[in-house]
Amino acid sequence: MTNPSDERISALIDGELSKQEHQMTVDELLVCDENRKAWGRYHLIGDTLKRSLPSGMDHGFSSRVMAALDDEPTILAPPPQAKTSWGQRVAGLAVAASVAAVAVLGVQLMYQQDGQLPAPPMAQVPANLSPASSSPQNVARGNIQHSLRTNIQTVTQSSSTASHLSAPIKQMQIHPRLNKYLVDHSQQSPRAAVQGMVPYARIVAYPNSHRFLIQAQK
Amino acid sequence: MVACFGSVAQAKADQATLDVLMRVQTASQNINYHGTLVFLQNGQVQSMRVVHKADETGRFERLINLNGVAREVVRKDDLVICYMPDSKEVMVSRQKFTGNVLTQLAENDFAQLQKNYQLGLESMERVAGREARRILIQPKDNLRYGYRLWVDDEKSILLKSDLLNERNELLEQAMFADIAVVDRIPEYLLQPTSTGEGFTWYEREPDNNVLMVQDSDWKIALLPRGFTVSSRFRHQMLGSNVLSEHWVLSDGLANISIYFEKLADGEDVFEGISPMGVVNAFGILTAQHQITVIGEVPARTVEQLARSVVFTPGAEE
Repeated sequence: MTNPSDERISALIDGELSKQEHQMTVDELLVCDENRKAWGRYHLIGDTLKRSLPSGMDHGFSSRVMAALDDEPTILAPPPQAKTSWGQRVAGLAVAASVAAVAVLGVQLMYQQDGQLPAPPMAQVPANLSPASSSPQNVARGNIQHSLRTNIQTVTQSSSTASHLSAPIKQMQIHPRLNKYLVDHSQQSPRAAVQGMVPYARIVAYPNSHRFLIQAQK
Repeated sequence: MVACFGSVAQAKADQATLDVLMRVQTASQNINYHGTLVFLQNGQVQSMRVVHKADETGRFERLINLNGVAREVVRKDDLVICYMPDSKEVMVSRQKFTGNVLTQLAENDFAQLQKNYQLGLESMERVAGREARRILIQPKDNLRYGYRLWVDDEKSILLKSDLLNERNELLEQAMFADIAVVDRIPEYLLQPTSTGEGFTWYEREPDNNVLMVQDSDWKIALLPRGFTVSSRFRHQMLGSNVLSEHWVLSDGLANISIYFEKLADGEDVFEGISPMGVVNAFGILTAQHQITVIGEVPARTVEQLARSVVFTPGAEE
């Protein structure tokens, strides 16, 4: 399988591809882990420019949202609009979540109920959404704020490759980069002796505590 | 301006506190114990099995989470192996500081600590069934956290440690629920539970482990008050094959790392704040480099630092 170039992914997000190119790119994009990361990253960059991301974002959200969505009726949320106070404080962990946009949606929903998706109070289905786009899997796997705005084809298209996605996405719990920073940082100083085991305890405790941190920010 | 009028009594109290801290450092080099460490963070309690062995054969430690995901850290001298079953990763790395810890804990470290923190020797309390001396290390501004430490009176083991924000609220607590000081540690207690089989292993090439940086293309326009750059390395980050710069800053107690990584095409960018418990990370994209600042300091400190990183190629002779 060939990989779409970064330019092509960027063009896809910006809605600059022909219909044929568009479908081909999406197909290619969704079968490869690396490509999905790039996809998430480009959306995050876009969101960053729009300053529309919340400050605390959990990298595990996407997988939990996916899991929750599998059991839930269709929820379509309007793209999060700029909360300017959150401004530039874009959380980085979710970059790794291969569908960063899902995580954004996830944060907003999660804030309402701990780990459970609420009944869809935000469900304002845009009038131009086609019925094909509204199965839960489509929303979860394709969820791309962009597509909710303009690019319904993306959502629809993703359903054909959905089976490729569930496994790798669910495994993606922690941003590898930050994990490594945390590990690397925690062992760099002789002064750590004053802190005893605490730096290591942080590594050991981190994943679970993070979940609570996000909930505490509600 | 640390010295103030009428500071003789304070200086004595400081010295007593520093002595206790010094004993904590030395005690960890020749003592064996195992116990259960309770770790409280964001309202969540985790308990961990802790094993510590230090003798003429070296220094060994093992921590394993007893609830939920069995994350595990095993250490042998400067070699640290972290098993992360949740992400199916094993990270092998080496402590960058080797040699005698004492020689590196020069007095100016403590002097720096005293500049940034108010020290206090407090009452005796009972922790894990043992008598412990409570110490308060209070920050003089809001760029760092405060610490309350309970040090075993007899063995100088750190039995309990609180991390406090500027309103003296508890952010994190680590405490031995029980601890046994023993003559010897059976080998099996130090063996990792996890085999790491089927996990992705990340290990740095030993030769590329540490290179001290002489000339850097990076500059920090404004260091957070009280912090100094204590070292600059060039090394491979785990799982990467490019050399990155890594600076370590210290205020005498808290550490901050800055990582400067050239981004390859298609690599994730990490931008913004990311709290990991009390450890805050702030990422920013500067001159095609991923700049990541991470440390057990308030979010404002890592953010301020990240925003004052400047790319100045060739500026430093």
